[in-house]
Amino acid sequence: MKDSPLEAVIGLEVHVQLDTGRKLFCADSTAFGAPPNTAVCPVCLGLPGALPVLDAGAVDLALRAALALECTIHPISVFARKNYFYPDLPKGYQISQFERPLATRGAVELDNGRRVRIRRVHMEEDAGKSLHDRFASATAVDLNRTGTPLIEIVSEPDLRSPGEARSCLQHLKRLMEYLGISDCNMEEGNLRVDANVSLRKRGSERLEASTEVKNLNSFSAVEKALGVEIKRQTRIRAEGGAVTRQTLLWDAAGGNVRVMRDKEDSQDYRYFPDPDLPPLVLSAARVASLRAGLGELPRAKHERFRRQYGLPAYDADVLTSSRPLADYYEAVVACGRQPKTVSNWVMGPVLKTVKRGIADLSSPGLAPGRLAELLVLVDEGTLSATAAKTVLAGMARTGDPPGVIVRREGLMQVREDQVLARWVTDVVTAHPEEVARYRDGETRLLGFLMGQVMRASGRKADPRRVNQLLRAALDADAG
Amino acid sequence: MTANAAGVAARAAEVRSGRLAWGSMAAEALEAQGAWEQGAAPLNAFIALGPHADRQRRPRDGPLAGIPVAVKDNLVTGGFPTTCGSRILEGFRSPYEATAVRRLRRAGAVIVGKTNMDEFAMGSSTENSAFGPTRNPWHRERVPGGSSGGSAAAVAAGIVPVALGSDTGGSVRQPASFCGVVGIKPTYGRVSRYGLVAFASSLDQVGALGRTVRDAATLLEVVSGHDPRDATSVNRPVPPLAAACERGVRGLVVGVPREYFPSGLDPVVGRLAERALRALEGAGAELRDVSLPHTRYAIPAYYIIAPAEASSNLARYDGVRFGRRCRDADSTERLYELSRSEGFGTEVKRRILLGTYALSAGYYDAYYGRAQEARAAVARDFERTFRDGVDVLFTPTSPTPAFRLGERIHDPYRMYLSDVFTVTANLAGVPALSVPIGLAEGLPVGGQLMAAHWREDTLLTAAAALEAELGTVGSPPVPSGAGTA
Amino acid sequence: MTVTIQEIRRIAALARLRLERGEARRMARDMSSILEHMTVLGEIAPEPARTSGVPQREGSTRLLGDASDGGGAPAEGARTMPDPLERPLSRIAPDWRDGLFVVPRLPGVAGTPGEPDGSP
Ligand SMILES: [Zn+2]
Repeated sequence: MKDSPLEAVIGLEVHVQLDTGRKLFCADSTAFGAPPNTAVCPVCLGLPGALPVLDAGAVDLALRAALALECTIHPISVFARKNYFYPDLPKGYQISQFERPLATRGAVELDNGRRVRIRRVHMEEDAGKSLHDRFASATAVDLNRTGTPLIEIVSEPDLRSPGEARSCLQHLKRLMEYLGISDCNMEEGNLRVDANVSLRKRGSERLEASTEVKNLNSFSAVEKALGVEIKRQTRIRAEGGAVTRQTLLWDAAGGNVRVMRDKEDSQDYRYFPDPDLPPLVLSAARVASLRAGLGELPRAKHERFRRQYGLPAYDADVLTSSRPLADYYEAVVACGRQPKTVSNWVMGPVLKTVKRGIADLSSPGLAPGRLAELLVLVDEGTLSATAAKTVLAGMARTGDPPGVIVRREGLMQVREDQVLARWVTDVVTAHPEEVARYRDGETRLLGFLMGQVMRASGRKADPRRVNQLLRAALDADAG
Repeated sequence: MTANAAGVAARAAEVRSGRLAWGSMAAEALEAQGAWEQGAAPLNAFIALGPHADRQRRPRDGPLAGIPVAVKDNLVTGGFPTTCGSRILEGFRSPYEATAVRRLRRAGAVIVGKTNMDEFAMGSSTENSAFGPTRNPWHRERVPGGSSGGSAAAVAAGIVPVALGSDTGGSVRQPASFCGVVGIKPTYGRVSRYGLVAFASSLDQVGALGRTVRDAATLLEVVSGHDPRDATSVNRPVPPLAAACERGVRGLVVGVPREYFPSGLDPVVGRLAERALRALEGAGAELRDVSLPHTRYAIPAYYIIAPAEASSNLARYDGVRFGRRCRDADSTERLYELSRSEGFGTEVKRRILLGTYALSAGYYDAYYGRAQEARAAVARDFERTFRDGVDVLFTPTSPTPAFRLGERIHDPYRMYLSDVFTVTANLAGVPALSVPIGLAEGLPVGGQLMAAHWREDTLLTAAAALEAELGTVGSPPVPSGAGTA
Repeated sequence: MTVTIQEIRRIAALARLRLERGEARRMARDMSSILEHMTVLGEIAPEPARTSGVPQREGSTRLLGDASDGGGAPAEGARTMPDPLERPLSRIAPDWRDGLFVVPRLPGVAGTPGEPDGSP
């Protein structure tokens, strides 16, 4: 594309499942994997007479997303019905926001510094699931997902390449995860992406016919599908043809797009305000308190972590991926530990413990003060790094403070020269051949001999002192 | 009938004190119902009856202890089918119960049956029922009005003292007027719509019918009040409604809107309305001529908005999850078309088409948009009138007494005009009530009262005064057994 | 006639209603005559602030599980639990197999194994 007279014009429509744990208009759980048609009630089944009531938690999460995307929040927004028939749409309409969405006119900034405008953020309910492979010549319907709370984030067509689209999506995902709005699990469909693509002469402002590519369920799918579609449109135009407005489906296995329907015979959804739901009126106080609760956004935090703590970009990335993690990191540093050391420990052993489900960041055993205590023991030389990892695991499992575990398990580092010297002597005596080769200049054998001493000590020896004593022993006898 | 002669409150007190057995009135109701089904012209007020009182879950006390209540068949009810008068819901049993019905049970009532209605409440005569028309107990060749015709007829026939209906454009008040009973449509938001099968959500309200103003008030008080399951239900205290019947109208300002007394008004209806106004004046009310200039837009606005909402509300009857399914369909699209075409009657189809048209691309602004403007204008008329010191408006409920079966069924717009005086209250969301004001050649005529939002108490005060001044219209002749009609 | 038979057919298709030939003609006639009475709506002057089909009187929509905003404490039976189904779905559904609602295969759906499909 770089040298082409054409440029791509891409906009994203992103559906994000809100992590409220319950449905948007009833109290059913949205937990993934329940047996089919068990997380349902009269409301989300669309039974005669049932009525929707909007969940306050979903409104708060949607607002948080809109605020993080720098949107204008509308004090009055309106739920509308989008009418169409489909077996997994129980009421024959989807409740969504149409003419008057929750929020409009926001922006996100990409890593390359470009600002991508956000057209709107609105709330809507998800449909159910149609299963076409379950029975021969029949479609089965599971309504567990029906009514799951979603926000749709629509960007302006400000993206100029598949890479930018990917980067924009990554940014959105990161933001939603960081703010606890969504887990953005793409496999479970909690983050879904459609993209609008058209081509135009570089520098032109003209709007060209665009196609909508659906079913982009991974970052690489977004990048690949857009690349394929841009190539397809480029070829059509090179051959003198015209791109027609179509909805396309990305086929990841085949690596191509196929036509789902022509936009020209687009459906008539007969949107109108849902009379079951009075307008959503948001008080200025509610919006202000959510805005205040938003705190520092991940991008700003990332920059601050690099500046204030002198962290590499990678460390800042990991540590600012969620607010609890970032807060945890800062709390440990605040206990007076060296920022990069803390980063290594948090990104490494601490996160490993969390991922294994042994404990989480709010467990008492992993409290920031406890981790700091552990790091003090390492810094003082009381504990070896290896022993410290064992202690950390113990802290996570039992909730005991590091000192207690160190004493209980006898993991204290041995630093008395008398004791260390005996181990060194034993090793030197036991490995005459290696000692001789070392003395002949094969100095890398020092590592081997070190290892033997550490092993003899049950990994409790202070390695720094062992190193000194071992060298002294080897060099002295050589003279 | 003895059970129903005294007021509901008094009979419930007898049940609570143990003087009257809890299920005895329900048993009498079922017996009376049977009597009305005898002969060549059965009343057909009910779609479903029973189960026997003893098999119903209940407390045995409460303001409606032991009172037999009939429930319109568009309120989902445990232990009964709920059909809405439609083939598409034939045999449907709801797995949950409407809030209004739950409140009835909590108040100690016995539900004796589900009453007939125009399919999905679309109609003004109860002729649009898949289960045959209900007849007017005063004159069996005439309609009982609609769409709550079954409930009105059951009360008028003395089968039950009170019944629940629903009112979207007059569906409680117009049949109350045709059957000589009291019918009240409360303020929009006063009674929960949870479990009321939707026709037009922004207009629908559950309403109460009773043989007397007090009985209707007692029933309404029981079902009123906030429900967290209905976002349009309003959290406001319910004033003591039965007590409001005792207040008297001295000093009350009664507005007489000239738009409701057109030249085409049936002269007998006009004369009875005039007599009622004199009675109110005689009781100490002050009459005032007023104008609600946007009244003429009400019917057009109503017959856009109601079908538009209905077209969407009725999309769920698709044969997929419940209700009728056409067994011959080889594709989902055919399944939809066949199930719906077989399941819905002509009037329902007509309104779905009308509503779909009004919402469809290119027509939305011209029809639905304009209708909303008209609705707002109608509402402003009411606001202004009540702000200017009018306490209650008095009008005829319907331009005519009950018409003949079949008389209007083939002329939809003429049928729609039966609602000309009643739709305004639904459009504005204000409470309104119909009370009998006399008989015209043996047919009851009702007077309508409308008040400001949340002022059901004022309506009841004025209605009780009218009832006291004019006397009741009495009861239709009771069928003496098989062969009478 | 303001509404043609073709328009009635288009609308009926949107509403998933099948009309016989005579029925479509009758509906077109009825609707034309009904809509004629609706033309008076054109006289109404538009008001700028139309927000909803619901007569707006008391505050905003009530929110589930919320007392801070939107009017009123969640009173009686505030919903923390979903409304239970007192009859199993298997007794309500016209076709129910293995806990699933079943309809004839959708047109144009190949039935790609393992690929659940949502609404368009
Ligand atoms: Zn539900």
